[in-house]
Amino acid sequence: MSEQVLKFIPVKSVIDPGFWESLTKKKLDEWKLDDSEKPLEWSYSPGKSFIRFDYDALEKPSSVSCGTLRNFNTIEDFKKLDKKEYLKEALGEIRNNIQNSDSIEWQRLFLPKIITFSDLKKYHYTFWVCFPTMKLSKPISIKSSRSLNATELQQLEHSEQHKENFFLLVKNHRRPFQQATKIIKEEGKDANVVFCFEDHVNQDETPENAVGIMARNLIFFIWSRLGLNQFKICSVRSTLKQENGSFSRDFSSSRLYELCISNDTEETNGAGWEPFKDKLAPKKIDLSASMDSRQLAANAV
Amino acid sequence: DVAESLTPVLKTSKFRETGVLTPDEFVFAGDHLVSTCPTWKWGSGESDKLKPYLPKDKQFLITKSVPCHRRCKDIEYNNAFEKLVDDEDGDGGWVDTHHGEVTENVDAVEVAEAVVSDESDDEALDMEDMNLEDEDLVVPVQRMDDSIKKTRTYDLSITYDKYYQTPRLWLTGYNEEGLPLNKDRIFEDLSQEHANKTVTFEQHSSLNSQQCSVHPCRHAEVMKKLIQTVQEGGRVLEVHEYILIFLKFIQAVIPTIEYDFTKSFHL
Repeated sequence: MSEQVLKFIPVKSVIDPGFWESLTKKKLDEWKLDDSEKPLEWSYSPGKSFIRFDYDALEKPSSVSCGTLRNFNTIEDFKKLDKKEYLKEALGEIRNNIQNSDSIEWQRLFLPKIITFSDLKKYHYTFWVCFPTMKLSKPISIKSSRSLNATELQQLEHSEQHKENFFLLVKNHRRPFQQATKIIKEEGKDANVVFCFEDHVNQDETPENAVGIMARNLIFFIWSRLGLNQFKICSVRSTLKQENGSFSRDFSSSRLYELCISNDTEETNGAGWEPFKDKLAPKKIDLSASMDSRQLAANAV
Repeated sequence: DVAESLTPVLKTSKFRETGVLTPDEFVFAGDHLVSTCPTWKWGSGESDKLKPYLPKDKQFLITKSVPCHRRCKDIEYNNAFEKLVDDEDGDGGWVDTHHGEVTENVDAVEVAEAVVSDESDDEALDMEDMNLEDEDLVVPVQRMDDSIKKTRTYDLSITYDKYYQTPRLWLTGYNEEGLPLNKDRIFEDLSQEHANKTVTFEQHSSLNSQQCSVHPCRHAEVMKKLIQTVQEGGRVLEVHEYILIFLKFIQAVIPTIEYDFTKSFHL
């Protein structure tokens, strides 16, 4: 059998229309001409192909799952921003998070960015989402890949009450992701750790050698911070099943990969700007139909 | 909303008699939905829109990014369910009618369009030196197949309508690029019978956005009939099941939006 190489499936971004209402309000009442970076809450749901920015993403950014938004005052400023450099800075920030914390939360492996230009007269919003991911110079080879065994599945099922999307299985016991550095330090590189993450991909549309792109930063963390060249990751995938009138998750489509990174591998340019219609380009939406009428209604009272 | 502000909060349970809910019953039924269908969650919404008769953290129910693979016009669906609901005799056969059952019309190909305006200045962004080729990436099958399937997604939310004293459904749609769908596009995912009659586009009662909403003026009436039909069948419908049943009848309006329990919830 020829050696397989791990591939990645990109995420798509979804921005709730309420987000633009909130941005408009912030811009008018609070930021005015301030175009510095603002904290931005984001989330993703396992099995859905999206990262999301919801109506309250600018209102209540949590301290951990935080990206940034930069709203430019003019379309020229928006265009002038050096996109490559901006991505590089974001990757550098993620690298710092990884290197400088002994108990890193999984959210710190990610730093989604949105840049915007809002034409508030027309309710037109130009925006571009960047979801920075780390890349390695050599392909990551798959030594083996398999479905989970009964004991492993049981661990996933038992731990359903946990909210964390990234976690570890150490000798078949669930441990928090933050303990990764500690465990490797104490038990050495041979510690039998499976790095698990709730994958954004859905098994229906996924080739066997592919996982969600969030795994890139996870793998970068394992390789650069923990110093492991051979390790196991588990793409946790689930479907809803119904039993006795209530739903539970069936994890049997999850896959465990044993990966190998060759010794002469280096970090290389990362990626992250979201393509639009197969081009690297920003998106633009016109929300005048809904936002204008709201203004009219408000003014009419 | 003047009518709503003048309507007193319903305090006594009347759901069996009239098909309406008290706010407490809404919360009770919502808790049941959240515990049985984990994709639904409670939300609190905008702080200036909090309803005092509902707990702060249980203002409305929401499920996000629900797939919608087909447009309504591309399917033929069996509307026996609605006919039965409209039928004064209520012959009880509705439970197993598999309303909303879909048969695919393979000839119909729809091209979704985002709310994007193509102004020339957008094209000026010079991205030539950035590399789109990322050899490690796999494009999901779904996208390669997109001349046939344009997968949209929907956020569905359910609020409590104080005036009609029933749950009320709201919809936000996105195209496959994650961009919001405008009203006309969303109407493509509503059964044509309802699109122009019972669906309105208005301000969400807990959020700051305009959304499509299934107008609740007939909800209580329909729910009352459903409740009676179940009772005639010898089973007592409990109030905690209200929202599950509500969502089942809502499926007649949005037959192609695949929220998760539609196939598996049986009475």
